[in-house]
Amino acid sequence: MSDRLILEVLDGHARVASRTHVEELPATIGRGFDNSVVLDDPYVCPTHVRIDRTETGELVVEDVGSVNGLYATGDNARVTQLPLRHGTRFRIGRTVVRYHDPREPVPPALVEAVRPAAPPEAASGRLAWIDCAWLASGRARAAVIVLSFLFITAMDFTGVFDRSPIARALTLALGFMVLLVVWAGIWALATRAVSQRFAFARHLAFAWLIAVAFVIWGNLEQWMSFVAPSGSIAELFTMPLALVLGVVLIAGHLGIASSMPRKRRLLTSLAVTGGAIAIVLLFGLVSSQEFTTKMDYEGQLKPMPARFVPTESLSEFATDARALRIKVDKMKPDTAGAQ
Amino acid sequence: MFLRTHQFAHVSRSSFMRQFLRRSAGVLLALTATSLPAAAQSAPSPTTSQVFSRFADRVIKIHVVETSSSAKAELGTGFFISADGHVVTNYHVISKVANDPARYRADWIDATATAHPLHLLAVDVARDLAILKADAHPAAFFTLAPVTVTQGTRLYSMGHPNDLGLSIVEGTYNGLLKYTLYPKIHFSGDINPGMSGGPAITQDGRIVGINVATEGDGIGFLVPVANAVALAERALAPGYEPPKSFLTVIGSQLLAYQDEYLARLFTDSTPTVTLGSYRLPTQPAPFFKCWADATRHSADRPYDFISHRCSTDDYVFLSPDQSTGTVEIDHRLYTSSELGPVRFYALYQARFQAGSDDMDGDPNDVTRFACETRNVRHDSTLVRAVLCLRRYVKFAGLYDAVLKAAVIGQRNSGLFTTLTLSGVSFENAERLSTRYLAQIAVTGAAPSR
Repeated sequence: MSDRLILEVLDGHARVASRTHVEELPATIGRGFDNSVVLDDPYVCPTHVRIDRTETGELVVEDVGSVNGLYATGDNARVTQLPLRHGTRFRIGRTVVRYHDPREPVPPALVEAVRPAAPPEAASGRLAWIDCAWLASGRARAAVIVLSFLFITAMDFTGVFDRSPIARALTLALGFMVLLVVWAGIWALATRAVSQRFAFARHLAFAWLIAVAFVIWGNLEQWMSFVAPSGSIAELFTMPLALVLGVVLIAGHLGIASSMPRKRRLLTSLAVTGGAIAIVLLFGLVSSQEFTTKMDYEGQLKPMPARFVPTESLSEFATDARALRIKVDKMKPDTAGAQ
Repeated sequence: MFLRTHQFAHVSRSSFMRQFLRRSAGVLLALTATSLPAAAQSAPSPTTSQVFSRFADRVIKIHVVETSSSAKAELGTGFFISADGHVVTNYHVISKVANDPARYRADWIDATATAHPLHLLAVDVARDLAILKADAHPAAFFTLAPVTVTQGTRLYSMGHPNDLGLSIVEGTYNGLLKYTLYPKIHFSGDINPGMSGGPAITQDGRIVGINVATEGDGIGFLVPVANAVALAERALAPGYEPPKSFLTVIGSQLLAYQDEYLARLFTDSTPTVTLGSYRLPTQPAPFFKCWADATRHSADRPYDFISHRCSTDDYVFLSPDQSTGTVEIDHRLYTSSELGPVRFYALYQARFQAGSDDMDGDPNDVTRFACETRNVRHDSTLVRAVLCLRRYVKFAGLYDAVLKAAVIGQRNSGLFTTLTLSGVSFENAERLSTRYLAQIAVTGAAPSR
């Protein structure tokens, strides 16, 4: 049987600071350079303790007349000697030493939680489009950013009605651009923290794509509300659509930033977006209870040819007015009923 | 012609607004007395002091007192009309007593500054009158009787302006207001806060009206005495008992008032006005005043705008927080030869969504608005119609209703209109809304898309 043993000096967090293989016994620990384990601790004697086997073959550490003594770490009691088993710790001066039996097996390796990017996944699966792999091309990114900017400028142009519409629309679109640059910048920094690259242009192009989708969605909502003002149809579509766009936005940025598997990204984005929508709904609910003298109505007016607009007759309008009256009669003072 | 209308309208509108502000402030809340225009005061004729000394003892100061703190909440004037101590004043002087009798009471203050209780007997909220009773038997009192006076007749208004002591103001009778359904007398003379409820009398002591409101600049308003005669006939009749709840009485008076008022609006003979290619109802009744305004396209505005509004000087004071009984219509036409349909509709939508002035309201008096929007077709005219409704909390069956309608389907012209009805029954709101919508028409002068 070999007398190889391992002595580990631990730091303040009980992590191994240094590890010494001791090949023969007796071994000594102290500040002197002739010891088996040399310590820098000023509270340790030149030769502080000795490690050896007793006649029965038991391994012990023994105080060799030190000034500050030998302590068992468990109960912090000063001892003259201490039997050593695998994992036993003792303190000399201000240093904690742990005995490691080299024959003890080590635990199996942990399985790495974050797998490296799996190229086969990115290219396959029903939801692969979320990753917008084609944004890897620099030319595609530039095209997306330019076209999206032009699209937003055009949308802004249709919404301003003063004398210098192009300047106004450009100003609005540039403001939008600044917002997206900040947003993409935050994602780029997060990407750098995870995977040693920024991917700023890819984040920016992706953000523009989603922003365009949001603008289209907003217009769609207005048109739906214009065509079918009773609310039910528009409300049925708009919230789920907002949820889908939000999920795609977060999941896409996460995909660019990290190698997280798609399913986990989607679940994470779903939680984030769902939470955000819930907060918005909650605020809406709270504010719908507060008293106000404002009239909240669907005032959308769109340039649609009259023959395509679904309408009702005056008598149907009067019938709906009676339903409104019932709703108002149920309203409690101070806190309005559900809208 | 147009300019004239505009100027007239401008004056009317601003005076209307001032009056509106005054309503909510309460005529009684003492304002600073320094703003009395000295020029408007004419030198009192020798008889003014005689009138004052003859009739001063019939006019009393009224305090509305918060009972728990005994603090003065309102100050007004009243006058005796019977040997049994009956007193006439404005409803708005004692509105707190009517609304919350547990918290407020009315006192009258005699010449020695001693307070005596007053009991509320009857109110006419629509005409802003109230009758109370003192326990005392006054030595002298006015006799309520209908009178006929001619324009220019000298009147003497008495009251307690700003709690400065009983005052007498000379002025002239200038006929009835033109733009009200319920008659009010135009009195040229300085009625000031605190004088509300006081009498305006002839030289020989006949009551012509009761001080009710002022517009400043020597323009005052009186409730004609005939209304007080009618109320006194009821309240002084043998066996008359004051109602247990004045709120209930006020509620039914408001319902009756709006029924009578609205029955006269938008009848078949209602005139129409043509704005651009649209024909719209205007001047719902002869006592409405209408005015127009226009903004031409300019260096920074690529569109034209015309507005056309009608309103009256009628309103009903309910409490310092709430007035009601107003009807207004407001047409707004936008046209542009420069904007394409998409950009024009961005403008049209923005203006329609911005709406008009919000209505005032207090959560103790009204609920929130709830609105319904529908695209409605009548004949060949297509409008987006919004009806917003809110309920009166204290008065069952009364609502504020706002109807907004925007004509759609035109390429680069748009007209929207707002009909505001405050303090109306739902049946009237529905009836007038549909009748109003039915009267909006596209005349076809502009091409329809």
